[in-house]
Amino acid sequence: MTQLTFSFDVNRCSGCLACIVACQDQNDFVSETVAFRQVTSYEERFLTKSRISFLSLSCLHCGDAPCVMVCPTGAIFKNSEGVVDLNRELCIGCHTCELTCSFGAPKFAEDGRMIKCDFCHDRVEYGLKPACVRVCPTKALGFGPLKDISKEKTKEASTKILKSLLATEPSKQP
Amino acid sequence: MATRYFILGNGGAALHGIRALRIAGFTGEVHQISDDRGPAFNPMVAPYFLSGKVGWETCFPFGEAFYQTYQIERHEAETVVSLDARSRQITTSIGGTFDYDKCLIATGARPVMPPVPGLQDSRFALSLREPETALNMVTPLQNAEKVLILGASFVGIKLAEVFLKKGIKVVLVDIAPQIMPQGALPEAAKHVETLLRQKGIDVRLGVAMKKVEDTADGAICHFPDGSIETVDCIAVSAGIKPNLDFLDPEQVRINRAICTNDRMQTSDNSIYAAGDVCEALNRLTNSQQWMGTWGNACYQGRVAGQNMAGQYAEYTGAIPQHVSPIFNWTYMQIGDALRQGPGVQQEFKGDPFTGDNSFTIRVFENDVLVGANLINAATELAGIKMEIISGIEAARHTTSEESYQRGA
Repeated sequence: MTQLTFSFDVNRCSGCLACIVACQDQNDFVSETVAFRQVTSYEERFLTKSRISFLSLSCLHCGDAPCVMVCPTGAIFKNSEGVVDLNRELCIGCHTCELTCSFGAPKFAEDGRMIKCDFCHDRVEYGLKPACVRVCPTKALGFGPLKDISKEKTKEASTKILKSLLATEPSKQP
Repeated sequence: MATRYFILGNGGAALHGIRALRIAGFTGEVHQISDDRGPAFNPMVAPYFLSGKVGWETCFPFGEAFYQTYQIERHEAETVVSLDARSRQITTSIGGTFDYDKCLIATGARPVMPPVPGLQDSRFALSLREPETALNMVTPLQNAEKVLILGASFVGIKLAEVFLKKGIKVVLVDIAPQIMPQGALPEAAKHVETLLRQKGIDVRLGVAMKKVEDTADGAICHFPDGSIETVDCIAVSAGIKPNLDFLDPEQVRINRAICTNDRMQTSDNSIYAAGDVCEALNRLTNSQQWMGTWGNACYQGRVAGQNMAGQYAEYTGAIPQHVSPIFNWTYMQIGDALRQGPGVQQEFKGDPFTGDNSFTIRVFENDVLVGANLINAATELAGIKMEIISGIEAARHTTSEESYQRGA
């Protein structure tokens, strides 16, 4: 089974919230307060210096998803792409998934049944990017099979480590 | 002879145990003994079936095909009457005797029938725990004028909502002075009680029924003050007790339920236990506790199955938690909100009847968050949960650090 995943580069995120708007547009949400993605900010301050970082978070489509395990009807399941998916016909609206999820992913619609990020299945099926990824102006958000994303991240990290090991100042050369 | 593993029970813990066993590569015989027939029933779904939200088949989340898929030899409609851990033998109600190499006890729990004279034998006293009794509630739902719900537990409140929405008068009775006595703080319980009364439910608390008398088409419920209620049905939701009467406590250690270690083993190495029949780790108190929920049962069953198959798996425990949609509210409780003592403080926020209709009570012990009750405040849940877990981890670290300092 392929495991699709989002990737997120905190150094690139400007907190513009375009990902949230794109999600609302894609899923036809009329309420401003509902989206499958949330952006939170974190400010670090030390003396005269400060830095604000942003985190854009949606359902993480966990490998061993607790919501899948605790759902009393089997409405929540992992599909063939590793996406945590939902059969709304089986949902009883018990909110057990909401209680279990550490990331606030499950939301509830007017009919009392759960709704959640489905990785923009309607777009990905046709080779398009999820709406939030497509709209991100800084390319902080990415997506793809977990193996590929991991390889890319490993390569980036290795390159950084190598550069820092190889970099020397002229005065320190023998 | 092939290795024979026996699974006792037919619920979430049992079936997740079986699945884990097979996925881990166990190729021996898997026998399952249960007192029911057909696929596994989840009583949690029954109120939603009764309300018409889902069909009857949704109450059976694993389906019929599960047993063939995982090559289970079923012994249906058989009750285990004894388990001899020394000889590793199980005896059933129809005289069957079975030798096992390893056994998973996942026999769940049964409804408590309060000791009210006439209640146990009443034709009109029903519970939701088994498919047959749940289906028996369909007729009163269609025809009843008034029902009495005995036990203002989460299940009782849910049933009250189901009956009320069908236009049936509901009397909700509990011997406790508040509704939701397990885990809800009095202030939160009072708010929910107010909601129920506003909806038209006759809530009677601190009341014990004196006796029940059946008539031709209903039951007369007698109360100590001399009053009576004539009802079409009594829905019993007064708690559950684990099904472990077949066990010898001299052979398998039992507290309030079967004691287990972090691998879901009992005091006998060849016997495992999972689900509503056992105690397991409460991460908040770092002690064994009986915490019967569907999710805990499934995880425990899985861990037991993996260990039975020879893998190494640990059950890392759970924090007590519960969620209940009540009419258009969502009530949640997490951690140990009922903690008391000199260092305990409560912090209140909001009012479920005004503003954004949210209400929270956070409970701190020595400035560490240990529990909460939330009404319509799900957006705060993740943060509260993280904070409680951080408190647990900090306490563990402090304990380790203190031990290190002491040279332990």
